[in-house]
Order: sequence, then structure tokens, then C-alpha cells
Amino acid sequence: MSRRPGPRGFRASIAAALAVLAFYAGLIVSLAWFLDGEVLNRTLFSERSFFSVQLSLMAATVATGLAMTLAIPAAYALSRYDFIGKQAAETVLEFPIIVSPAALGAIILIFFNNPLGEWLQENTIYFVFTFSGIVLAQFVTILGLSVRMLKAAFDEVPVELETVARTLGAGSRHSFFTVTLPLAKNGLIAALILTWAKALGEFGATLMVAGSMAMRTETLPIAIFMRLSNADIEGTVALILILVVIGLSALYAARRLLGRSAHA
Amino acid sequence: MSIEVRHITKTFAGHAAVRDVSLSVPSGQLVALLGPSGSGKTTLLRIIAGLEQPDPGSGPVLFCGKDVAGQHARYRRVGFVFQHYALFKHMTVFQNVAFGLTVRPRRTRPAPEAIRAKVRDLLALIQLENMADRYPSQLSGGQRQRVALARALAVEPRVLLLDEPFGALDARVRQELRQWLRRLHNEIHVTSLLVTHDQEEALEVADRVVVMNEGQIEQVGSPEEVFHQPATEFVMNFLGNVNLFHGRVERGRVVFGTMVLPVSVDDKADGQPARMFVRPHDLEVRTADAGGTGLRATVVRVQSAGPGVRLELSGPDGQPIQVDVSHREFQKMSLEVGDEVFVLPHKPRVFLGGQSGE
Repeated sequence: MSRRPGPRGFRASIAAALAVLAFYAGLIVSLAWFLDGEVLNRTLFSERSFFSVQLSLMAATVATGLAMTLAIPAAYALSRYDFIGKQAAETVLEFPIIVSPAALGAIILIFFNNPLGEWLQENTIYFVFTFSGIVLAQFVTILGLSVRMLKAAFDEVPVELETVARTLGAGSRHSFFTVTLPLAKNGLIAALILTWAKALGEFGATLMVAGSMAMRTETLPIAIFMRLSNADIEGTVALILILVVIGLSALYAARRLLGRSAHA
Repeated sequence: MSIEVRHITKTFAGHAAVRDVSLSVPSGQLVALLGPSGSGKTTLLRIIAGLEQPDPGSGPVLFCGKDVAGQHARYRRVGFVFQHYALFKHMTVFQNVAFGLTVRPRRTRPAPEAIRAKVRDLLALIQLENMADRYPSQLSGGQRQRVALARALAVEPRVLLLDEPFGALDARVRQELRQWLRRLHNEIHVTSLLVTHDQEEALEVADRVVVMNEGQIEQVGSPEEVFHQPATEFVMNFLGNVNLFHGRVERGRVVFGTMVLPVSVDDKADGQPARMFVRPHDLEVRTADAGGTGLRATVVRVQSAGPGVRLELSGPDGQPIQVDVSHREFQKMSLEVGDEVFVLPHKPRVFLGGQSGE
């Protein structure tokens, strides 16, 4: 299945892996140069930082939840069925992956300035410069990615297993929940964590749609941007550390979850 | 329960995988669908299971005389066993076997104790009582396929459909498992249809063999019938080793080089090409040509390691001829490579322009 590299190729690939690790570790460690205990303490426990963390976690979680709800059935359909317009649908879903988030955010903002967008905002939910706007911006950026990852997860589950479930009398819903979903679990968890992390770190689209108002739409990445623009490097470092810790904990949790179900 | 299909055709993207096939499987029999890959046997099986729909205009699929064409696979109560087991790898052996019972709607679902008892019985039947809590990844290929079979049997299927069930196993396990399947079938008598490309498997296991080629049925018969009285050249060729001789009809007799067959043919067939098929064990080898009707050949190779001796001969035109003789016969003749021999066919099957005669 896989070609085994020779001893030289083997050593070179390990060296490359270590170099990557050293590169990222170096970047993070270099933050220590500007680490100031007093500023760190003040920033970490400031009301404004606390708000940003809370806002980021909430928005990312809601956006991921919404994206997953839509992406799971969509990805399943793309994985299992052939239908007219399937290729077009797949291409459109790749659009948010290749287009800059700033451009996506701008598109959303422009949409809310046309008559339909205005009507929608006035009669349903107000998006521009609000929490809903943050969620929408993140949702739009991560939806394509999550469909793609979930489709890959479903592709891994052999259709034969669903066929067997059907011949054994299971309905399509039952076979989806008892056979397909559990077998795609690892891919699902990976997709969930990665899209959530991407939503958490989302900056460009959020800034366009929701702006950067302190104590209102200031998510963590936006707070980092704001502090840096004010030349508050120590504060920026503190916020970066928060983001890094949250991200790494999420990844670690995912590893644990995936590791536990590896044998089945 | 009997199965019958009438005039079934199935086309995939312009290519007819199954062409106007009619077949009936009597209740309680184990029937093998035998053919090379692409002969349409799996497609026919999937149509019977309800996993594929036949082309419009096809005849009905009858279970016990009742048309099930409109019925979803879910409701047909067929047990389907795949080549690659298709076990649910996130479930234990017990959960796999119990699946068909636990998915039933609450009204018809047996009580948990009843399910447990039933699964226990099935695990005893497949001799895996101690493996209930194992996962499929902890089982050997043969054990996995037995679990797949038990899972299919748990729902008390009206028909058991097996699609190359031993295809993924190594030769030894395959042999063991097909003998086991035969014994199992003698015990439970569920009407079974087995798809295989392995003629030995079909001949050994099945009550009846259906030979398929290019989407059509070539012959239906008992293993003895299809082996000893093949209806077509294809069946002759596909079932076992066979020697092919090209000759022609001359003055009402069939002539292959120096060999003249004692077959009388219509005079009108004069000049027609003839093809003769003879199995290696139906060729007789003599060191002297008694009646002048044998085919002269030279011994090229002798393979004596095995239950019999296989002689590879070279005919007059250098054509290879395979002959199987017993060790005793071989010793009597004391043949060596380079010796000249004469070959006489027994039970030849001669085909003239699509007509068969003996």
C-alpha cells in the first residue's frame, strides 16, 4: 500500500518533521521576549479579555453547530448519491476554501446593503455589527471546509455495510445512525475540531461583517489585531497565549477522543 | 422457498450485464451461479435481493410464486453475504449477529433474552460460541465469513444469497469453509444461491449449477451433468481442463489429422470445420497405433508429482495436448520424454457450426 522509504529517506523525513516542530516552537517561544508578568496578569484578568474569550468560544461553537447540522446531510448526499448539479455543488462548496475570508466578509456585507439583504435584516435578524454577524461570518467561512472533510469521512465507510444493514431490515435512518455515523466517527470528530478551531481563529470575515467594537464584537483574533495596532505588544502576546492554549487544549482533547475509539 | 425470475434484463450505461435471463430455484436447494467475472451472475443476485432494479420490460422476480419486484430490499427477507464479509467493525460478534433483530420496530422486536438465546444458538451453529465479545478485527477471515453468515441467518431469511463468499480467503480455508457450508445447508435447508467463478467450488457444493456467460445462461444442471455433458463449447471450456482439436468433416466422418472419429455425420456437413473437446483424463495413450485411428504425438514433459500423472504431448502440428493417466498405467508404458505415442479420445464432444454431437 505505502512505499517504505529507504534509511536515508527515512532520516531525511524525520529531520523535516523536527524542523517543522522547531520552527513553530521557536515562534511561540520568541513571544517570551515581550512577555511581561504584570501586563500578562492584567490582560488575562481584564474584563475586556474575558469578554473576548467568552464571545469567541460562544460564536465559534454556535457557528460550528450550525455548519455541522447542514454539512452532515449535505456531505452524506455528496458521498453517496449521484444527482444533477453535483459537480457544481462541490465546486461552490470549495469556493469559501479558496477565497480570502476578507473577500467573503465583504460579500456578506455587500449583500446586506442590497434591498433583499436590507429587508432580511429589518424583518429577521440584524447581522451587521452584531453577535449574529460574527456567527454568520464564521459559518460562511467554515461551511465549505466542513462539508469537504465530512464527505471524506463518509467516503471511508463502505457502501456495502449500509447495503447489509438494509437487507437485515434496517431503514435508511437507522442504518445511518447505527452503522454509518459510528464508523465515520473519527473523521467526524476531526472535522468538528478543525472547523471549530478555524471558526475560533477567524478574523477577516468577522472584521468585515461585525467590525471591531470592544465589549461588543471583539473576538480574540480581533482583540489581538486591536492591541497590536495600538503598539501594545505585551498585551498582544498575552492574548496570543490564550488563543494558543485554547487551540492546543482542543486538539489534545480531540486526540484523546480519537485515541480511545481507535481499536473499534 | 422457491425463487423464480423471468426474462430479466439489466443494462448498465448501454452494456447489458444480464440479458433476458429466466431461472428457477426450487425450494431448499443450494444452487451455484457459475461464470467468469462480468458474466452477470452478481447482477442477477443483486436483482433477486432487490439491491438493483431490472430494466423496464423485464419479467417478474417471484418468491414462492409471489412477485416481489416492487418490494424494497429491506422487506424481502433475504440474507445477503458479501465477499469481503461486510461486518460492522465497531460492533462485537454478538452485536453483529443480533443486528437484524435489534433493528426491528419495537412491536416485532424479540425480547432481549430471546435475542440473546437466538444469537447464542447461531454462534453455536458457526462454532464461535466463545467469540461473542470479540471485534471483527480480532477474527480470522474464515471466522469473519461465518459471522457474516450467522448475521444473515439471524433474521430467518427466506432465501440466502452468497456473493463469492469464499473469494477473499486462502485456498485451504476456502476448502474447509465450503464443506462446512454444505453441511450447514444439509442442516437448515434454506434456499440458497451462491455466486462463484470457481468451478471446483460450484461442483463440490451445489445441488444444481447454473453456468453463465456474457449475461446469459449457458446451461443449468446437476454438477455431474454440466461436467460430463456440457451443453456448449463455453461450458466445456470453463469447467475443467480441456483439449481442443480442430478438424473437418470428410465424407460423413469427422477427421482430425490422422485421427478419424467413429461418428457419423450428415453428408451435407461435408467440408465443415469441426472442433473436438476432450478432457485430459478422457484421452487414452498407446505406445503402438492399433487401428490407425489414433493421433500421433510426442511426449514433451512428464509431471508425476501428484495423485495422477500429467503428460504434456506435442501433436502433429506442434499443438500441445494434455493427458492425465494413472501412475500404474504410466509405469506400464514406461514413457520418457521424446517418445512417440498415439492418442485416442474417449467421450469426445464435437461441435460443428454450433451443433453438438457425440
